[in-house]
Amino acid sequence: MKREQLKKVAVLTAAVILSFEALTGCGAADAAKEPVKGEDKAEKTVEKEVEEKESAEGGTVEITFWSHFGGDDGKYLNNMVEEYQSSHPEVRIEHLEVTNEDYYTKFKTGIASGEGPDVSTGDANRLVEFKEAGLVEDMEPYAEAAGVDWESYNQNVLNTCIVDGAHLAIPLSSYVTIMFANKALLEEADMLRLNEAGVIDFGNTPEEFIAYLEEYEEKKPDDTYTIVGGTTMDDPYRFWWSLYGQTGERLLSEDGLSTNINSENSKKSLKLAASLTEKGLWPANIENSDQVFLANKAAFYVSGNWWVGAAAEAGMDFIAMPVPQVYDEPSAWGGTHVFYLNPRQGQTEEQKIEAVKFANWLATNSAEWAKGGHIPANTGVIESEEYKSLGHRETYEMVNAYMLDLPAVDNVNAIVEVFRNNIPLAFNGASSVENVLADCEQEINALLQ
Amino acid sequence: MVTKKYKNLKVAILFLLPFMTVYLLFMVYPIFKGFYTSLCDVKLDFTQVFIGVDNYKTILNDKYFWQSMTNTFIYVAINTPVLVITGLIFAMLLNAKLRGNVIFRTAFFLPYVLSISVVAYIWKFILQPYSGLINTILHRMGMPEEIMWLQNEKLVWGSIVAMTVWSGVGFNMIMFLAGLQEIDENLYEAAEIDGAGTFAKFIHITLPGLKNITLMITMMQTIASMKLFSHTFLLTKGGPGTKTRSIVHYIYVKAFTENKLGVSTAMSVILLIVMLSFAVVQYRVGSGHEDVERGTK
Repeated sequence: MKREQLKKVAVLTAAVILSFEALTGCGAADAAKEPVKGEDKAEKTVEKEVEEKESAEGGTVEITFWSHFGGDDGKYLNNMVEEYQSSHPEVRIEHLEVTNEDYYTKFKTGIASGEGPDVSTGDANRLVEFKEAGLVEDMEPYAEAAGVDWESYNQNVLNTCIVDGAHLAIPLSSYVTIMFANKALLEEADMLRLNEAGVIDFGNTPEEFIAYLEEYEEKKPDDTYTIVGGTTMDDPYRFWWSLYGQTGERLLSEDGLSTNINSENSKKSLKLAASLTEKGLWPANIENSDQVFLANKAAFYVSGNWWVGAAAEAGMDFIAMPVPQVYDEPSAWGGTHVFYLNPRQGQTEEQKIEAVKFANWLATNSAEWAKGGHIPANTGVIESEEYKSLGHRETYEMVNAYMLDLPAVDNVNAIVEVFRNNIPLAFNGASSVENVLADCEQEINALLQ
Repeated sequence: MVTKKYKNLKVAILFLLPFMTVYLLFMVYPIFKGFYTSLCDVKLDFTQVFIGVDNYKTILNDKYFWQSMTNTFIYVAINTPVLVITGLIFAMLLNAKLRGNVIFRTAFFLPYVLSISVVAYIWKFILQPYSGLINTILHRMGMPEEIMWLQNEKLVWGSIVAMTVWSGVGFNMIMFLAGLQEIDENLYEAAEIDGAGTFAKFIHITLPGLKNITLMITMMQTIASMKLFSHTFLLTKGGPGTKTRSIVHYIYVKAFTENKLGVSTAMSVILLIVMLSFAVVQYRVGSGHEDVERGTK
C-alpha cells in the first residue's frame, strides 16, 4: 500500500513539474511579447541585470547586430565587423546574419517581441514604416557621444535617413540600377562608341537608344544576346522606374494620397522598356542572366552596382554605367543601405551609444564594403585612396546624386509588391501597358487610403 | 468498483496533463485567440483595436482574395485526383511483383524525403527556358521554340502539378501498397474461377477493398493541397503576376508585406472554415456508401 502511495505521489509530482515547465515557458514568452517602444523600458529579468552588471564591471559592452547580406557582401561586412571587434576589445559584437528573403519578417517579429538586435542593417525606404511601429529609434541623442559627424555623409543620401527631423539611421551605401557593357563584344561589332563620361553613347532620346540596340542586334555574333537581365520580380520594375524617374514625374500626388502612375509619362516609359523584349532585344525569362553575361554571350546586362565586384573578380573587361538618360533629367532606381538603432528589452544607454558608434565606424570605414561595387555614403571613404584604387566606379558613382528611391511611406513594401506582380506582365507581353498601369493605379490607391 | 474507476481516472488525467497543457496552450488557445484577432485592427507592434467584422468586409471586397482562393481550388481540383490516381497506379505496378520492384519502390519514394527547397531548385532547373533540361532536350529534338513552362499562364499549373506529383506520389504509393496487400488473395482466385477478367477484378474487388484508404488519402491530399504555399512560393513566387498565388501565400503577403495582421488572421479563419467544410463533406460522402464486405488476411 505504501509503495503504491509513493508511486502515485511520484507520478503527481512529475506531472505537476512538467505542467509548471510548460506554464512558466509560456509566461516567459508572453512577457517577451510585450512590445518595447522608443524610450519605454520593460522590466529586466534578474539574469539580465546580473549579465549587464558583470559586463559593466568587466568593461565589456555586448551589442547584438543583425545583417541581411549574403555572398560576397556578407563576407565584406564580416571582415569589417571583425576589424572593429579586434580594434575595440571593450565591445563584444554578437553578429547574426539572416538570409535576405526572411530578414524583414524576422526583423519585425523579433523587435516587436523585444528580442531583436541593438543595431541592424536595412533600407532607408522602410524608415517611415518602422518609425510608425516603434521598431527604430532616433540616433541624434547618442550621436555626439558616439562621435557621429553628420556632415561627413553625402547629404542627398543622408536625407533619406531623416524622417520628421529625426536621424533614424546612419547611411552605409547606395545601391542603384546600372547596366554592364561587354567591351569585347561591342568592339568586335564596332559599336564601342564612348562619350565624354567614358560610357556607351546611346544617344539622348528613346528613338536613338532603340536604334543603337537594333544596330547592334544586326551585327552581333550568333548565339548571343543584345541585352540580358531578369524579366520577373524586381529587375523589370527597377529598370522601368529608372526611365520613369527621368520624365521628372513622381509616383505620388502632392498630398501623398493618390498615385500618378497611370499617366502619359508612365505609359511612355513602360512602353519603351517593354519594347525591348517585344523587339527581341532583351529575351524574356532568362534565369541566369549574370552567367550568360560572364560567358560573353551578351553585350549588355541590366543589374545593379552590387554586381560590380563579381564582374571584376571574374576578370571581365566591362564598363559599369548608369541607365542611359533618354528623357528630361537623369534618374535611376536606387536606395540606401542603412544601419538602424533598434529598441530591445533590457537595453542600456551604454549599449545604445556603443551601437551608434559601431554603425558609424562601419559607415566611415566602408572601403572594404565598397569592393562589392557599392557607393559609400560617407564622403571621406569616396575620397580615400583605398576606394579610388578599386576601379570601375568612376563611370557610375555619379548616380548617387540623382538616384530615386520609392517614396518613404509606411507601406512602401506593399507598393513594391504591386510593382513586382504587375510590371513584369508588360515586359513579358502577358498584359498590355495600359492594363498593367491601370491595375497598379487601383492597387496603390487602395494602399494609400 | 466506483472508487477504483475514479482512481484510474485520476491517474489517467495526471498522465495526460502535461500533453494537454501544452496542446491547449499552443494549439487550441491560438485558434480562439485568432478568432478574436480577426475582429481587430492589429498594428506591427501587436496593439489591437476591436473593429468588429470590418476585416471580413475588406476581404470579401478584395479581388486578390478571390483570385488566390480560385488559384487554390484550381490546384486542389487538378493535383488531388492526379496524386491519388498516380499513387494507385504505382502501387499496383509494385504489387504486381515485377522485376526491379525494390529499385522502383525506392526510386518512386525517394523524392518524398527531399525538402521542398531542394525539390523546387531541381524543378526550376528542369523547367527554365533557354538552358533548362526539358527545353534543351526539345531543342536537340528539333523544336526551336522556347517554351516558358513557368511564365506561360496556360502551362504554369501543369508545371507545378508535375513537381508536386513527382515529390509527393511516393507517400500515396506506399499507403495504397499497404492497402492492396490487405486484400485477401482468395477473392481474386474466386473471381478468376468465375471468369472475371483483370478489369472486372479491379472494379469489383480492388477498388472496394481500397475504399477506406482511398478516402483517407483523398482527404489528406485535399487538405494538403489547400495549404499550398511553399511549392508556388519557391517555384513561381506566385507568378506570372499573381496567377499562381495561393490563399496561404496571400495570407503571408497581407501579414508580412502589407503589415495587415488583422486581415490576414481573418483570411486564416475563412480558410479554416473552408477546409473544415471540405473535410466534413468528404467524410460524409465517403461513409455514406454501403461498406463492401471484404475479406482480410
